[in-house]
Formats: sequence, structure tokens, C-alpha cells
Amino acid sequence: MIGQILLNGIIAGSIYILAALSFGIIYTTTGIFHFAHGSVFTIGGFIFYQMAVIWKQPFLLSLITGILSACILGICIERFCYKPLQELGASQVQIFLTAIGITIILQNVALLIWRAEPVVVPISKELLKGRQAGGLWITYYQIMTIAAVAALWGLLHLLMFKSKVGKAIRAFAADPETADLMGINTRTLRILVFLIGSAMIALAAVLQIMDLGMDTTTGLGIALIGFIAALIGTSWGLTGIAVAALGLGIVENIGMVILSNQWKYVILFGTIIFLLIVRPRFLFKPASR
Amino acid sequence: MGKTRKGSRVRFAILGLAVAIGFFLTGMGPTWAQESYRIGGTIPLTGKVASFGAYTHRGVEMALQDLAQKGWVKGRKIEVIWEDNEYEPRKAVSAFNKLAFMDKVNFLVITGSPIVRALVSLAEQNKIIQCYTSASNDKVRTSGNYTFKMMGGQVTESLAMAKFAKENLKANKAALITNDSEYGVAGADLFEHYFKKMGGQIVARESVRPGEREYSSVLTKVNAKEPEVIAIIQTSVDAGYTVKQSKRLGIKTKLVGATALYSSETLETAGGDAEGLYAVAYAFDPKIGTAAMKNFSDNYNKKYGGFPPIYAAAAYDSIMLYAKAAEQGQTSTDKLYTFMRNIKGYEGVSGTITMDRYSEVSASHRVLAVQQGDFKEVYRFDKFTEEEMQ
Repeated sequence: MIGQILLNGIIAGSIYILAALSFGIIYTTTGIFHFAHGSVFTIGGFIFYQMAVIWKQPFLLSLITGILSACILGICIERFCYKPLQELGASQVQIFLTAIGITIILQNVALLIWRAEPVVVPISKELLKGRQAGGLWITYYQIMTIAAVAALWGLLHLLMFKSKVGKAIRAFAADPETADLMGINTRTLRILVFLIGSAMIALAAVLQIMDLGMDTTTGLGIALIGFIAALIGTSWGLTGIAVAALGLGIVENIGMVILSNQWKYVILFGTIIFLLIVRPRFLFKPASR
Repeated sequence: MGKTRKGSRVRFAILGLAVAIGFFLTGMGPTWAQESYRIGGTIPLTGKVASFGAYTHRGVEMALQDLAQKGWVKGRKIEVIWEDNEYEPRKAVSAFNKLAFMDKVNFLVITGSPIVRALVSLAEQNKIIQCYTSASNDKVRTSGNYTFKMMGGQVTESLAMAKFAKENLKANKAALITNDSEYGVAGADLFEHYFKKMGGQIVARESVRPGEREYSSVLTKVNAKEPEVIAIIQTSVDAGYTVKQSKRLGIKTKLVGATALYSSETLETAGGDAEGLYAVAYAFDPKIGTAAMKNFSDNYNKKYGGFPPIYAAAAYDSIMLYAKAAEQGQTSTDKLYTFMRNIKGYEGVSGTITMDRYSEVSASHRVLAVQQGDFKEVYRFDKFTEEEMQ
């Protein structure tokens, strides 16, 4: 049983990793707590659904459209909401409240268009069939999801640490004013991180909708766990965020077994409150931003 | 100048008269076309169980459509004022107050266990007739006669589940997976009571939040206790996910569900993994039932796709019963209440409706199994006796 629970946690954690990394890259670079990130998940996922199921478009076109829509939305939120507020000298609280407002608006728009019922993008039944390996049960789709997330994590790592763009992003994250003075186009960088973050959360939505399906509230729940993971792991960079997300997936599943499914959010938020209060050194390094 | 002033006064007078006539005509408008019958409905139109609320909404809309085609009730329309309660009792109470005291309706359609629990005493105190379109639990059943339970209750439903598990599936150890809702908890308590009464043992009982999509760890935990049957008391979509994920985990234990599972949404969500699933259902059968049931089912399928669950049929009958009362001029509160209390042998689309002493439709049950992608009847119970229901 323990092995299965751990595996269930890793499977759940893989979606959380995408949510956490996508939020983390935005948060660590711009300092914005992009609460509306969950709505970007929702819109990206539902546009993918609309293209693939309602309009019966080819899979690849639907996927690209869903991701592009999420990217455009994310960039628009940055350009037309967060940036003007920051230029006006708005506080973090004000920006956060704005993000909540955007979330509510987008969620209701999604509700009006696609209604409240959960939706699924159907895929091959063979991919969703349970297979036993070493006493543990898993589906091919779940294996693909874990592999896809690992690959994306690797790509993001390569981008951030092996490319000039990544170097510029890290410089901007460390000191935006100096980065600007050094001639780094910080405006373009902000758009880029929102683009990357939105694309990743849209991918999380696509993976979710093809397996467990989603409704207009799913994005908020997954993004919330992403936020928690990002806050826990941010001292250790993107790797720390990913590990924190995976850890939360495992903790959540173990907690559901020891206690009950009803305690899911109590366990998750209890974990972060505990960690934020205790602030173990191995987890929380002195902040560089 | 004098002439001009007099002319202006005449013009103003004509204008004023025209405006007054216009207001008069507007005010008269609704009474020339006869005033509608106004009734209310409070259901979850949004939120995690909106898909469940949608059944009642659809049943009502279909009834209104059919009535419209027949010219309404002697030319008078029936208008439904909907209030969304998001499946929250607090919001349902606000909706009730608005409908009863501001909109002044005396007939409501409601659904959902926490909703009926919140409203049953309000309806009783304020003499508002409510048609409740989901399964009642034992507390709600006896709480108020102004709330008409249109499809029987969880008492008989849970008894049928327990009897089938124990006597037909020969299970001595059962596990329960239920929604953490009024419906789930009441159903689980009743199942546990009856199963133990028959000598069975409950080895695991897990509550899950409605709308949750991920049940792998809950299923792993339950399966570790080696039950011989797993009883599922969830809404149709949630149950579909539970069933699907149980197969992914290689769980071969038999699954028996409550009436909510008998729906096309369960089959759609679970897909091929629903094969072998058992669901307790009411006598309502859109495939081999009465002509009225089949006709209702065909129309539902044309409009919404899939076959209708009993909640939609119960909602449809609620409106038709109101229309019948209206035809007989019995829409005042006292007359409507008496009319509803005395319903015997009414052939509705949900079945034959007879109200018992608790204002509940006396229901019988059958068990269906998913075979080759569709529900097929495998067993039928006689009506349970009062002694069996203890």
C-alpha cells in the first residue's frame, strides 16, 4: 500500500510541479504574486477543449491554440494590469487584490461560456488502462505525464542556466534596476517570463483535462498548491520549487490515507503554515530578493 | 402671445394625456394577456454540484415547454423564478426568503440534501409547498409535510443496496466511499445500519469532498482492507471518477452504487471501466418503462443527450402536478397542499405517484448492472415493509 500511495503522490505531484514552476518563474523574476495564474490554467484548458472536442479540430492545432491563448492572456494581465499598477506605485496588497478580481472575472466568464459541468478531452482508452509493474499500478498516460513534466523541468533548467536569456532573467530577478542599467531589455524579459509561465500552466491544464478532466474551479485549486510549493521552495530556486511541489503531492496523498480526503487542504495549508513558522534552515535560505 | 401660451398649454395637456394613456396601457398590458402563475425554484446552478442541479432544471424546463405547446393552463403561463444556491444551505435560505416573501410564490422546486434540510422547517412554518426532487433521508422524511419528496428516500435506497450486497453478492465485508455531503453521510449511515443488521461488517468508510477528481489514495486505502463489496454513495460524475480509478488500480472488488450512479454521466465519465458496476435505481426506467417514461426520455435525449436520471423526471412531474392543480383552480396554499397530499396513482414520467403519510412518494427499487456499456436490470425488489425499514 505504501508504495502505491507514494506513486499516487508522485503522479499528483507532477501536475503540481508544472503549476509551481510556472508560478515560480514569474514570482521569483518579477516579485508579483500572480494569483490570476489559476485562471490562465482554466482558460488555456477550456480553449483546448473547445477546439478539440466542440470544434473537432486536430489535436496539435487544439494544443497550440490552447497554449497560445493562455500565453496571450498571461501577457495581457501583465501588460494591462500588473505593470500599470506597479508604475503607479501600487502596493503588493493592491496588486494581489487586483489579481483576485481578475480571477473572479475570468472564472465567471468561463462559467458563462462553458457552464459548470466538468469536461474531459477524450484520449485512447489504452493509455488510460491500469498496468501493474512491481506490485504498483500505473497507466501509460500517467507515465507519459511524469516524463513530460520531467522533460519540461529539464528544459526550463537548461533555459535558465545554460542560455543567455536565462542569464538575463536571473540577473533581472536578482536586481532589476542594475539589469536595466546594464542594457538588459527588462520590458521584454517580463513579457518572456509571463509567456513561459503561462505556457507551462496551460500544459498542466492540457495534461489534467485529458486524464481527470476539469471544471471552471479546477485551476484555482491546482494553482493554489503551486503557490504553496513556490513559497516553500523559492529559497532553493526552481529546483527547490519543483521538489516542494512533488513533496506536497506526496504529503497530500499520505495525509489522505492517514486521515481522510476531506483533510486535503488542511494538510496542505497546515504544512506551509508549519514550515513558514518553523522556517527550518535547510529549507529557507536568506532571501536574495 | 396669449394664443401661443394657450397653444402650449394644449400641447402639454395632450402630451400629458398621451403619457398617462401610455402608462395606463403598459400597466394594463399584463392583465390583458392573463397574469402568469408564478412559482419558484432554488437549486445549485453553479458550483461543484451544478451538474446535479442541472437535472432538476432540465426537468422543469421540459415540463414548461410541453405546457407551452398545449397552450399553458387555460392560456395562463407558468413562470419559474430561479435562484441559484450553489448547493449551500445559507444561500438556499436566502433564496427561499426572496422567493417566498419578495416574489410571493407558494410553490418551490428544490433539490439536494443539505438544501432540503435547511428549508424543510421554513417551508413548514411559512406554509410554502416544496417539491423536493432528490432522495430524502430518514430525518427529512419525517420533518415536514409541506415538503413533498418526489422520488422516495434514502431509507429504501440504502436498504436495497445493503440487501443486494449481502444477499445477492454474498458479501460479508463491505467498504463505503461516500461524498462528504448530507446525502453521502445519510446514505452511508443507513447502509451501515442495514448491512450490520443483516450480519455484515463494515471494514472501511471514507468520505471524499464532492467535486474531487482524484480518488487513487482513498481507493488504495479502502482496498487494503480487502472488502468484498465497495458501496459508492456519490453524485454521478464523482462516482464515475471513482469507478474509473478503481479499475486503474486493478481493484476487482464489486462496486455497488446508489441511485445517483444510474445516469449517462456516470457511464461517460467511467467509460469502459464502468463494466460490471451495479447501481440501485427506482422503478423509473427510461428504456423499458411506461410510454410516458420513454417519451420523456426520448425528448430529454434530443434536447440534452443521454438518458434522463430520475431527478429530471421528478422535477418534470412536480411542474405537471402544479399545472394539474392550477387547472382545477387549486393554487391557493391550502388547496394546493390538500391537492398534493391526496395524490394517489398519478401516472407521471417518473412512475406512479402516490403520497404516503410523510408526503413522500412510496417507491420500489431495482438493481442494474453495466453490461456492454449500458445499464441492464438484474434484480427487482418488492416494496419494503415498515419492519424491514426499521
